[in-house]
Formats: sequence, C-alpha cells, structure tokens
Amino acid sequence: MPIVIEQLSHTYLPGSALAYPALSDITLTVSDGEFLGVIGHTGSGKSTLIQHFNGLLLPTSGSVHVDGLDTREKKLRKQIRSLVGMVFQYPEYQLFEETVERDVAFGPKNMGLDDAEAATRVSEALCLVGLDPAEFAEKSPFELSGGEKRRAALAGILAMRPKYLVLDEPMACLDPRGRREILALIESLRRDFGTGIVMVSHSMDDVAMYADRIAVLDKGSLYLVGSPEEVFSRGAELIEMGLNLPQATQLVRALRKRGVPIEHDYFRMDELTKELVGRWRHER
Amino acid sequence: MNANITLGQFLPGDSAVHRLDPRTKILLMVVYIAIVFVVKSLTVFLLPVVLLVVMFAFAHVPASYFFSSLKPMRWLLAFMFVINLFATTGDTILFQWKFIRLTQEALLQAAFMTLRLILLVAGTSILTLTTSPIALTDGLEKLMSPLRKLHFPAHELAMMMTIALRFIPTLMEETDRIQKAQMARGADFESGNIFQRAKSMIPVLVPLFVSAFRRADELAMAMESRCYHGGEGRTRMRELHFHWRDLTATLLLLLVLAGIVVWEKLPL
Ligand SMILES: Nc1ncnc2c1ncn2[C@@H]1O[C@H](COP(=O)(O)OP(=O)(O)OP(=O)(O)O)[C@@H](O)[C@H]1O
Ligand SMILES: [Mg+2]
Repeated sequence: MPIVIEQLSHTYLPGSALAYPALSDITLTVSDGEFLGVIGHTGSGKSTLIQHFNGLLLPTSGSVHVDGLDTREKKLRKQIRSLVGMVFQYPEYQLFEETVERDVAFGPKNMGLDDAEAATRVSEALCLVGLDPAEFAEKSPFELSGGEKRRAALAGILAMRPKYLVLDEPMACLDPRGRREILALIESLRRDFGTGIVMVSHSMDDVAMYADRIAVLDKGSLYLVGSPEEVFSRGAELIEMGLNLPQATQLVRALRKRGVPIEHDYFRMDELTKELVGRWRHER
Repeated sequence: MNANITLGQFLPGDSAVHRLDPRTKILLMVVYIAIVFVVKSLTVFLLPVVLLVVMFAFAHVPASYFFSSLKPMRWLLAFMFVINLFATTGDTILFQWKFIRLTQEALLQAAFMTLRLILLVAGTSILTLTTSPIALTDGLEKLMSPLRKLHFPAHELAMMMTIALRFIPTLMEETDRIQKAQMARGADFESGNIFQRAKSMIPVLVPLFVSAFRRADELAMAMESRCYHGGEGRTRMRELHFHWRDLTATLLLLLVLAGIVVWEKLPL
C-alpha cells in the first residue's frame, strides 16, 4: 500500500502574528518500491513536506495516510515511524550513544525488539552502509570521520528496516565518492528490499538518474509531478523557478545551438554519452 | 519550537519609542518599575495603566503582543490572585461558606497584586519589543562602563549577553531538529513519568551539547581570526547618542513619578 497525501496544507505558527503558510493543497501518492525525487528552490517547502510522511509534522488541513494509517492518530504514530525511515540533512548530528553499536540499536530498541534481534539488525545495517561491524561496533561515534559518521547515522535508520526511506539532501557536503556510495546504497535498498524512496535533492543529475518520478515544489505548491522526461522537458519553467537542468540536458542544448542535431531530449549523462559515442563511431 | 514566547522578543520598527536611546529606555524602565512598586492604592494605579497604554500606542505595538507577553505568565498570575484572595484578612465579608471566607479587602488586594505583576511584565516587554538585543546590550555596556574602574568586566559581560541572545534561536532550532530526528527513530518524549521523561531527553541533550561546543569553538576561532582581543581600545560601528526626545521622555516620566508620590501622600 502506498503513502497517500491528500490536499495537504501546512501553516507554521498558526494563529500568531508570525503565521507562515509553508505548504498549500498538495495531493501526491508514493507507491510501493517507487523512487520519488523532490526538487524545489530553497524555502519551497521540501523539508516541510517530507516531515509529514511520518507524522513529525501534522497537516493543518488535509490528510496523510501511510499504508492506510492516518498520521494524525496518536496511537498509530509509532507504527508509522517504523514503516517510514527518515534521514535528515546532516544525520550525523543525531549520534549520541557511547558506541556505534548502541547508537544503531536505538531505533530497533524503541520498536520494542529484544536484544538478540536488535543485535542482528545492527550488524546487518552496519554491513549495508559499508562499516565493518567487527571494526566499528565498539567505537565511539564521535571518533569517526565525517563520512563514517554519516553512514553510522544512516545505519541507525536502516536498522529499523523501514518500508519507505525518506531522505532530506542525504549527500550534502560529501565528496564525490561519498555521494556515489550513498546513492549506490539507496539504489540497492530499492532493488534488494523493494524499499520505497523519497529523496530531496538539489542535484538535478542525481534525481534524473535514479528517480521514477519527480515532484517539483514551488512556493509551497506542487507545481508538477511526472517522469524525469516530463519534468526536464519543461526547462524554461524550471529555470524560472530558480532550478537547474541536469548536465546532460544542458549539454544537449549547447550542442544543438552549435548545430549538432540531437533529436532526443536526454537528461541522463550515461545515455547521452552512449548516443555521442555512437555518432562518433559512425562518423569515423 | 515554542512560538508563544513574546517575552524577550524584538519587533523591528521605526516608532518614537524604537528610536529612543537604549540607555534612556533602560533607565526609564527602572523608573517605571519604581512607579509600579511605589503605588499603594488602586485609584492611583490608573496612572501607570495610562502610561502603559500610551507606551504601547507610541511604539506601534499591536495589542495582541500585550496578551501574548502575558500568556506564559497566566498560571503565575492566577496563582497570585488566588493566594492573595484567601491569604488576606479583612472585615467586610462578601461571602462565607464553612471556613472559606471572601472579604472585600482580600478581593482588592488580589486585584492589586495581579495588576502590579501584569504592569511589570507588559512594561518590560515594551523594552524588549522595541529595542534590538544588540542595542540593549550596547546600552547596558555603556551604563555599566563607569564600573570598569573597579575592574568590573562590563564589556565582557555585554559581549557574553550579545552572543547568548544571538544563539538562543539557533539552539532552539537545533533542539527541534535533533528532537525530530530521534522521534523518527521511535524516541518518545511525551509519555512516562518524570524520570523516564528526563532519561528520554539524553538522546537530545548529548548531540545538542556536542553541537553547542562545536559552535562555540568555531565562533571563538572566527572572532580571533578577525583580531578580537577584548574591549580594550575597541571602537564601535554605531555610537550611541542622546537626543532631545530622550530628555523629553525622561522628564515626562519623572513628572509622572513625582505626581504619583504627591498623590499617594495626599489624603484622597
Ligand atoms: N519551524 C518553522 N517555523 C516557521 N517557519 C518555518 C519553520 N520551518 C520552515 N519554515 C519556513 O517554511 C518555508 C519552507 O521551509 P522548508 O524548510 O520546508 O524549505 P526547503 O524547501 O526544505 O528549503 P531548503 O532547500 O533550504 O532546505 C521557509 O520559508 C521557512 O522559512
Ligand atoms: Mg530543507
């Protein structure tokens, strides 16, 4: 069953002089095993939107249902939070335990799992994120490097075996290799476990590469949802909103301007490369 | 985040009250507090009430801010009222039921004390609503600077206050974020007895302290790399100046104070 968002509006500090309508009238569905990319200019409400997916924020009006469970029901909240894992920007700042092992076990313990089950999940999650349990389990999370901290924090969420994983700019401030590794991990979660992914990203290339569908937020409204083709074919509107185009799309445009006829609108670098290499071979 | 805290909040503006020198405002606040304490009868209380209304009007502060500044105090106010109602003895009995007795004197006293507290809170919130934290600490520093002769660290204290005020919203935001991140991992801050709740705060407090220390470290480094070395010989970007309006405001308030003292002494 999917995550269903219906006519969701959210106002911060309602009823005060500082009331701020951050989201208005959003209707959106995230299907099982789908990869949804969320893009939008700074302040467009991306973080506000995704915090509704596990009941951290509640709708001012409208509703959010996770597998049929209403996030407004207090009794269901624990169940919803174990279904929807949430990775915030800079998740490393949530580490608090004395050892990595105990920190990763925090979520499973809160779900009421016994020690043995929690331990299994901890080593499973550490392996997933590429931290060898034998080496890292007993270390203090505060003596890890930045990249390792981020993986440990990610493991803390994966240990809950969420059915959906929601990520808010998970690659911010990582080096290119760190980015690739996190993306590969997200992709493998989807492939191997069928985890549904919602990822907020400022990198058009990443969403173009991995997302099945892309939601474009603009000033708190859902401007557009659709496949990467549909979204990136409307380049002018995206640029108007302060967004970018994927590098491949930009390259296609630049080549066309110089008279290279490329019929197809590419948005993935790997596909464009294939096309260009093919042409080059052909011409020789 | 707690949005109901108007206490200590600054409302930018360009009113006559906003433009007063912060030193004047601090000193006048002291006079105002003195007035509120000097008044001993309910009739004379009309004066500070009028004064408060005039201040709110001149500062262009909406009345809603007056009520929201009292909101965090509502239980204290109610408590004060009830305590005074039953703890004051008197002769004019209005109402009696078994051992509960309500006298006219007690009712007056309770109203009086509550009003006094309201005037204090609302009056001081005018100061913080119309004075930016920076101006406030600048004013305090200037006012305290004669004490430097006695090796009192006026500048350091003011700098500490400025930094603390600057970081309150940041830390609130940070707390909110960490709390949410832990809630997403199933942490529960709302149920359980007081000990369980205190214990459930550990996953929030540890990261919060770690990040506060990190921030302090970064800030110290940034200040030092811009050659900050304490208050000695430091000049300011904006010097404080007294204007005619400062004198006018002071004279007006002193007049009110004098009026009240005279009125209190007169047998009315
Ligand atoms: N706790 C809050 N209280 C009041 N206003 C808020 C709060 N959090 C966010 N806002 C406001 O809501 C709007 C949307 O914020 P949000 O964090 O969802 O944006 P975003 O799309 O995630 O931006 P970014 O790309 O910078 O992360 C912003 O204008 C912000 O100022
Ligand atoms: Mg955000």
